[in-house]
Amino acid sequence: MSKLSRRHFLGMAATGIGAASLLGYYILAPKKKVVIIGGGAGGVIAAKYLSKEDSTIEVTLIEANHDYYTCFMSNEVLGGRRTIDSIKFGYDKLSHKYGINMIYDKAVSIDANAKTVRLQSGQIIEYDRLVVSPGVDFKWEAIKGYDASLIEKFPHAWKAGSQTVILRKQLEAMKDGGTVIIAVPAKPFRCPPGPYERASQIAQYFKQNKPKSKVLILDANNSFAKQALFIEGWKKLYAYGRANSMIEWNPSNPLVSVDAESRTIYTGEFEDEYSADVINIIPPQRAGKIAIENGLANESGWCPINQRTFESSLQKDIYVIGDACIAGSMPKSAYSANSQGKVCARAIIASFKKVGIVDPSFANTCYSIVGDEFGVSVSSVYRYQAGTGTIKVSHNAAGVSPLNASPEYRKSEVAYAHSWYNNMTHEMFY
Amino acid sequence: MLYREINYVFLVLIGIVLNFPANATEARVSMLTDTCIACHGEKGVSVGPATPSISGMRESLFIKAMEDMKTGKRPSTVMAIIAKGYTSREIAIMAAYFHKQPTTRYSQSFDEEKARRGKVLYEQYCSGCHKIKGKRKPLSNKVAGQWMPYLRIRLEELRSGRDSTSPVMTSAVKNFLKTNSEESLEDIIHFYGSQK
Repeated sequence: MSKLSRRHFLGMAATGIGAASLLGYYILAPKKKVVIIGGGAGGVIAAKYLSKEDSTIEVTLIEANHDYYTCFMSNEVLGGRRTIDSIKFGYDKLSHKYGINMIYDKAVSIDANAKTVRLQSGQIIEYDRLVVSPGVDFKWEAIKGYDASLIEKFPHAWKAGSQTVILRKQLEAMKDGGTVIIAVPAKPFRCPPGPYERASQIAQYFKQNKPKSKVLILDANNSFAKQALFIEGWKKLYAYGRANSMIEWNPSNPLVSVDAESRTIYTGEFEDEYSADVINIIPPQRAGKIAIENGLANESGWCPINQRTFESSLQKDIYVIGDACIAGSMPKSAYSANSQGKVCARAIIASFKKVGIVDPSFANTCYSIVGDEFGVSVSSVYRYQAGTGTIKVSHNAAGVSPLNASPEYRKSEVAYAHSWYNNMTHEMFY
Repeated sequence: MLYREINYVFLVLIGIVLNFPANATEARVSMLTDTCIACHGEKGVSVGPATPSISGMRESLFIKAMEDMKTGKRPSTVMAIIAKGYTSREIAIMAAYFHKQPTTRYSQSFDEEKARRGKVLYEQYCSGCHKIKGKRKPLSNKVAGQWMPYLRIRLEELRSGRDSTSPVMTSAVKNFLKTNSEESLEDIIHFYGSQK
């Protein structure tokens, strides 16, 4: 007969518990459900990293569109430098390779208590953790006489795909000597340098095809990202500041109202009147609709989060990443969403294991292609700072391309911009 | 009796340890290297056309590159800013990670004639240090199969003296140009670009 002392019993019990919990975590327990709303730069990366890093998680990605058109680099489509198909991607490879369950549908409401998401089709999806990466929505009510029904007449092309094609076609159809207006909303908005890269790409297209034409930027703001660099490029390439300048920038001139019938817009305090052949209205923005309508945003229209984990400050077990969230000093860019998606995935995995994550580190680089041989960039490395509870620039690692750089330098940044684009989309979809 | 107790304690400890996150250091490595992918590709394998692959790089060279770009001694574009964001310890962690990653080379379009001439020049001037051992082994300095636009930029930086951080390369290029034209440098680039 064996003598089982207390010491031996405790030793065996502890080992048994250790082994059983391992067994339980990896093999026996039901899979933990993580649902992601939004198949863009943030959502796709979060889905991939959750699947990749933890086989006990079942990942479901909800995306309304079968095809994803990158808004980043879409300005080159507007400029005629690349085709719409070159910015089009599908989810098949990614979902097969990583076992991600794709649902092509629109998420319409979230029940944070029941932990379910309701889709447009009526289907109800359960989650243990939810990642909301919806991008932006437009404040249609902010401009008098303007609403969602006018986006084919006055395309925003601030979500890529059919909007990009519509705007490009309008530019192609425009006669030489015509004018394009780009109306820029007050910050913050998705892609801070985007409108100015757009003006550059359109001016480049005009220079080669319709040299008497002009781009007029009506800007609610009085400054913009990489301003000195854009102006250096515009002076060099598009006669900026001279009588025959192809680009004009009117700051502190917010769009107030639109008369769709007469194709006239009114800006600023005194409602200055402008008319143009092509009018690109980029409306003021806020977090994606699903976030706003389900209590994830605050009065600012953006979603407050724990900036270490990306968990919503307003709803438990729901995480918000990408354009929609308030992430300290990080800009609203695809690179930021990519960086945040990875941190968020790791934070969710850690939350299931009931451990912490290592101190998060982020990065962002935004390239702007001002001309075929003139590229500029802004870069930063960020850290979560426990003291302030916010994400801030790390070790002063923030800056832009140098002014008056050599032509070789400017040309190299175009090649690097294309490389960034290829590597970003390769990571997202392959 | 004692052995059995030690055994049980050992098993308990294993049980505890295995329930911790897989490897705390692994988590720290990922947190640092995750952000490099958007430009340098997964595992540091860039799909190009210009941003270099950094997979399989020698650790000492990775560290030197980052430190020299941080101080501006080595010319760069965004890396001058990004390298500042990391401590020496973190750079060493990244170096160890990228060194372990397998080298993958993508096809590039190159000129056959130039690559043929470049091969001869490579054998004479470069192969002493830049041995090409075969597809899977990383090189002493990752050059073969590296993106050609990047090789072009680097050679020009070394030739012009804007990069003086590698005295060996500076004198190698100077020596080469004593008896060869600058166009011949392009032949070498095409040779390296032809390597798969």
